[in-house]
Amino acid sequence: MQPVERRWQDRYLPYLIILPALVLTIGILYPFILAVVYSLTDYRLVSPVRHFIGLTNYLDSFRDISFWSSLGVTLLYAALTIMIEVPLGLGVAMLLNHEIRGMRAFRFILIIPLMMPPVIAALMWKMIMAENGILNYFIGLIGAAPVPWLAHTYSLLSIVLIDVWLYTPFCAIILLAGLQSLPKEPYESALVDRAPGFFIFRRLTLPMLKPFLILAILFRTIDSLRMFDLVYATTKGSHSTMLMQVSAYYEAFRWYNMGKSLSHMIIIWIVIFIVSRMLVSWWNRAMQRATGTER
Amino acid sequence: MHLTPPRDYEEYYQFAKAMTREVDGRQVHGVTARGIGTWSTIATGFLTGFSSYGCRDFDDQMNCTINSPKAVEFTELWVKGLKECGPLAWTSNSWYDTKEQFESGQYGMWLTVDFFAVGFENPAKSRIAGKVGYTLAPAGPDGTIRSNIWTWALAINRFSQKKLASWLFIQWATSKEQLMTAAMAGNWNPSRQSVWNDPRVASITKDWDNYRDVVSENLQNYARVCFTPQSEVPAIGDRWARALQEIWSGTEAQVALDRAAADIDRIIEKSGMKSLTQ
Repeated sequence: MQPVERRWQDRYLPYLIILPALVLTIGILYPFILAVVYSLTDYRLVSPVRHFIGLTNYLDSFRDISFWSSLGVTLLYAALTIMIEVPLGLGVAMLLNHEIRGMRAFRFILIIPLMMPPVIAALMWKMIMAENGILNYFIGLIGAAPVPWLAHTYSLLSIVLIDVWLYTPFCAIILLAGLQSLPKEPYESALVDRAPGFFIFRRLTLPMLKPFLILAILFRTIDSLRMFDLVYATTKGSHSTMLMQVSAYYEAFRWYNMGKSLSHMIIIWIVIFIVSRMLVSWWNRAMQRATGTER
Repeated sequence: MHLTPPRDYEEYYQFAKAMTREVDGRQVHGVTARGIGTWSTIATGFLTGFSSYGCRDFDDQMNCTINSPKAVEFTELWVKGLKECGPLAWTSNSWYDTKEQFESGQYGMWLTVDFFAVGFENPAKSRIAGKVGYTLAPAGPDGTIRSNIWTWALAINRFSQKKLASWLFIQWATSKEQLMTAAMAGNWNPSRQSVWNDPRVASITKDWDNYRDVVSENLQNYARVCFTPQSEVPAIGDRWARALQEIWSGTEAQVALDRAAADIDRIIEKSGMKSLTQ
């Protein structure tokens, strides 16, 4: 027969151990469920009265051309940032993977943008891109006319540029960690066989680095689809930079339509969830292939 | 150098064109205005010009009229001025960008709020201190000036459970003593006549060209709230400002304003305000 103390431990200890995780899960789920519930109401910040209106907020959004434009701009923004940041991050990571003199200093410099709050980075770039800013000064040196960086269709590309400056180091760090964890033997064999550099990159590095590339794409996809601060600090969301997060902000805090704003947020959450699930399953397959556990 | 101020909006545009040039190797633009896609872009100079031109945001049945022929004509003229003689990236110009750029001497004219003068005339921060002239807004085609007042208001929510505390706070915040202290500390909102007429406040503005006379005349004769009173001003103003951005970026004025008017009608319909007029 077990002592009373032991039986108590066996019975309650597992629950006690998972309690912090449970509290954390509730902490995450409660606001989320609340957001879903509010998105089904006509909740306005200027009125304490709210009614259940079913899917009206969602249907209103689907009928609104500015919603589709905002969704399109958001997807375009995410696609552009990922298409630039991941290859650029890979290039930087490959350069930093060489053990040469001064490389530690370069690695430190690389992470400086990451330490900067995005709003500060955006305001700094807003000054750089101003009409009399340094960017137009350099353009003027070659005799070209100043560019309206933060207007017209330029504005989206300019914000993508700021994003690239800010987050390419993030991709580079993930990919550098990946490069440094790759086994040395396949490279030694390739060198013995005198395989060309591009062949080694294409047939060895890229396949082995695939899980890390997917990881970088995954993180940057989620972040880009949720982008708010860079846009709001630079253009306040002009018609060509009205990302979903910014439009939700306007809907909630300028027009007081909390219910409708939350419906936008839930829609973008669904997009992020679907894209993330696809990337995670791609990452799982890549990991199984890389570790030889593929079924 | 003293210039004759523009009498109407056609002259305003012509003056802006004439002032757009290089001065000492620096590009000076003839005119500026706020340009971000929020109602503040509408509420300042634009709405003054729009109203003076004889246009209204709504008719008596609360139908949006920002796309009427006259409104389109004025909007085209306003945006043309900014496009040809204004900031390069006008659509990203917030009030503080515009104010800083104006204070650095990048623009010739700015039809804006009078209290910004405290920044223009601060020699520690402004390159144009002591060089700014003040004048009334240009008149519309019939010679009328309708100058929009940008009001800040303190209100008590009818659902508040502490109405007395709110009322006491409002009394304190708008008292002569509080406004006097604020004005003397550089928070330039001497909105009580007793504060505006106080010799200490008057002495602050004594070197600001004709500022005092112009502001007094404007408040006495022309200032009014030009938005139709309704509760959706932020949403409607933001949508309207986006239409201006679209026009500046190349969309035809009639098309952009028709779309905005349709959206604004929807906002009004949804808010229930339309039924109040029937």
